[in-house]
Amino acid sequence: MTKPAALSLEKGDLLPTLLMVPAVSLVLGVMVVPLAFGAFLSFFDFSFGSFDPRTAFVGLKHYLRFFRDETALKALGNTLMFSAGAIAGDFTIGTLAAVLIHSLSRRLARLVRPIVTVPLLVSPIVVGLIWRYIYDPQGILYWMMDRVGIPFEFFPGVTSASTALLSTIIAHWWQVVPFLIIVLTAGLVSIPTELYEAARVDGAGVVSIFFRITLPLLRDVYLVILLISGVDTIKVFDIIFALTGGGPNNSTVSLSIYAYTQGFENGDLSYGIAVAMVAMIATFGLFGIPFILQNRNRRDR
Amino acid sequence: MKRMRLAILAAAVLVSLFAQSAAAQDKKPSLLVSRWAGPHADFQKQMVREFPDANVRIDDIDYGSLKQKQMTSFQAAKGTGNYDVVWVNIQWMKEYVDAGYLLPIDDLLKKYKVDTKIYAKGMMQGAVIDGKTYGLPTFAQCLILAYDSAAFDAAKLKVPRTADDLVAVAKYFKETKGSGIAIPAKQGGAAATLYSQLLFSSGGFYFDKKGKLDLLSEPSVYAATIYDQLAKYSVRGATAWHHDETAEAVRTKTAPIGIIMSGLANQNHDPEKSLIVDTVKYATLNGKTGDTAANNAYWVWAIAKNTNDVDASFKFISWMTSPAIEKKQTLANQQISAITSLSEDPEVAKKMPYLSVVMKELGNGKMDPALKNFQVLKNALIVGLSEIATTDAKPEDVLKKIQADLAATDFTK
Repeated sequence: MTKPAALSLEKGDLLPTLLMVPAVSLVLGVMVVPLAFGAFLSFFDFSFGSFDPRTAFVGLKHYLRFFRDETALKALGNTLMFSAGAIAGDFTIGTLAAVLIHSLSRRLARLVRPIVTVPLLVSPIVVGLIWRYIYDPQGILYWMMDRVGIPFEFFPGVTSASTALLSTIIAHWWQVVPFLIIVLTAGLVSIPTELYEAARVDGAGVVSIFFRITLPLLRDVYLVILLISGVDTIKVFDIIFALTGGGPNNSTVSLSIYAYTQGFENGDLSYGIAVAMVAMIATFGLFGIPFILQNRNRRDR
Repeated sequence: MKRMRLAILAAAVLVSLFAQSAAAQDKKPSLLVSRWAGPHADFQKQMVREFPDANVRIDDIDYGSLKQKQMTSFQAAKGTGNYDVVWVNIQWMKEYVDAGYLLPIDDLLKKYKVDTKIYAKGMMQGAVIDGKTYGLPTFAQCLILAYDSAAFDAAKLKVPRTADDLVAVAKYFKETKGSGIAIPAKQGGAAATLYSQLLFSSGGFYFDKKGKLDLLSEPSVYAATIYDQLAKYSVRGATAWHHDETAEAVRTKTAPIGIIMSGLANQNHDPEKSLIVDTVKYATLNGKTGDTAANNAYWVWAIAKNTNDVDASFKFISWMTSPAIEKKQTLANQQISAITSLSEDPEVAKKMPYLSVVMKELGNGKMDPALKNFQVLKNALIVGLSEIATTDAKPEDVLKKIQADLAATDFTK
C-alpha cells in the first residue's frame, strides 16, 4: 500500500496551483462575479435604493415576459438578421478582398493593405456618425445616386423601415471587413505556394483553385472569425444606436438596444438584464457551442 | 538695526493680517454641488467663485451617472462628502421628493424674502410638489418655430397661427419648392416632445382628469394627426433627424421652416454656421386654436435633505437663479432662465431674439408627469410616432394600440 504524497512546494504539487491563484481570482472577480450577479438580479424586481431580496424575488417572470413581449421578439429577430447579414457580407467581401490583395504584386499589396484597414481604427460609435452623414439625403450617397439617375425612393436608407437594417449592416461591413482582410491574409500567406503551382500545372482554373485549395485550408481561420464576428454582431449596439436609435418603427432595434432602453430609460433594470441574458445565451448557442464541438472533433481526430 | 527691526515688525504684521484674512475666508462654509459635466459646467465652475457666502465646489459628472450618484449621496450621512445642493432634472423631482431626499424651502423663501413670481409660472409649478416648494427652476428648453422670412416673403406666406396653418405652409413648400418643413422625426425623444407640445398646445394631456391614460382624446388624436401631416410634408430625410439635424437644415436653407429646440437657435445667428443670419425669425409652435404651451423641460436647483448647511445652500440656489446671475449666464452661453422679465431686457433680447417666443411657450407650458412608469409611455409613443411618420398607419390606430398595450401599466404613482 502506497502512502499518498503530501502536497508540498518542493515537490511542485502546490506551486502551479498557487501561481494560478492571481489569474483565477482576476477572472472570477472581474468576469464571473459580475455576470453571476447580473443573472441573479434578473430573477428579482430590482430598483436602486429599495432592493429587498426577500420580497423582490420573481423567479422566471422576466424571462417569460421576454417571450410574450412583441418588441423583445422583434429585437431578437432583428439581431439574428443583423448577425446573419453582417457575417455573410463580412465573409464574402472579406474573402474576395483578401484574395484580390493577395494576388497583387507585393509592392502594390503593401500600399493597399494599410489603406483598406483604416476603418478598423475607427470606433463603432464614430462609424455610426460617419454613416449618418453618408446616408443623409444631402450626403454623398444620394448625391452620387442622383448623378447616375437613381431616385431616393429606390434606397431610402435609414429613413425607411424597409432599408434601415440593411443600411446598418452596410456600415458594419465597412468597419469589420478590414479585420477579415488582415486575418485572412495571414491565413493565405500560410498556404504553401507549391499547392497552387501544382494545381496550375494540372490545369486547374482560378475558381477551382479557390474552392479546392484556398477555402478548405482557410477553414480554421474562418471558424475563429465566425466566433469573433458572431459574438460581436449579436452584441451590436453602437452602430445602430448612432445611426437609427433602433428606428424607424423599431425596424433596427437590437437586443442590446432593447436591454438598454428597458434597463436605463424605463428603469426596469431586472428586465433589461434578462434581455441581455437572452442575448448572451443566444450567442453561446449559435457560436459558442459549434466552436466547442468543432474543437472537440478536431482533438478526437 | 532699528530699521531692520521695523521691517521685520511690518512684515510680521502683514503676515498676520494675511493669515487672519485667509482664516476668515476659511470660516466660510463649504458647499458641494452636483451637476452634469460639459462646457456649461465649466462656465459655472468659474462663476461660483464669485458667490460670497460659501466656498462652492461643483462635482460635475457624466449625465448618464448623475442620477445614480445623487441618489447614493442622498442616502449618505451628513459630513461624509455628501452633496449639499443638487441640480435636478424636472422629471426626477417627484421621485426625489417621495423618497424624502430633498428639503422643502418654503420657510427659507419667506426668511430670505425671495419672490418666486419672477419665474415662469409653468416652470415654478414643477418645483412645487404636494403643496411644498422644493427648488428654483432654471435652464429651460422647448420647441419653437424658426423660419426664413425671405422665403416666406417671396411666397407671400403668413406666419402660421395654428397647427393646421403650419401643415398648410409645410405642404406649400413641399409641393411647390420640393423642400418642406424640418422636423425631428427620428425614432427618439425629440419626436415625442414634438407630439406632446402639439398636444399641450391643443389643450390636451396624456391622462384624463381621473389620471387614466387617455391617448384617444380629441386633442391627442389631433396632435398625432398633425405630426403625421408634418412628417408627410417634411424635408426628405427628416424621419432620421433628431434636434441637431433639424436645426442644421433650417440654418443651411435646406428647409425654409423648421421646428427646432430653442437651445440650438443661437447658431442661426452665427455667420460661420448659418445662411439665414439676416432673415431668420421665430414664432411659437401653436395648437389647434392658436394657443401655445411648451413641454417644459428644465432643471431645478434643490437642496439635499442631508445638506451640511441649510442656509448657505439656500443662499446659493437663490443666488444662482437671481436675475443678475441668470442674465450673466444667458449672455455668456445663451442659457434660458426661468425669469420671464429677462426676455424684455434689451441686452438679452438683442443677443437672443427668440427668447420672447420661448418665454411665451414656457409661461403656458406643461410638464411631462413625474410618474414612475411615464418613461414606459414615452418609449411606446416614441415607437408609435416613428410608425406614424414612416408608414401608412393611421395615427388613431397607432394610439389605440399604445393605449391597449399599456392598459395594465400603473400610472398612479
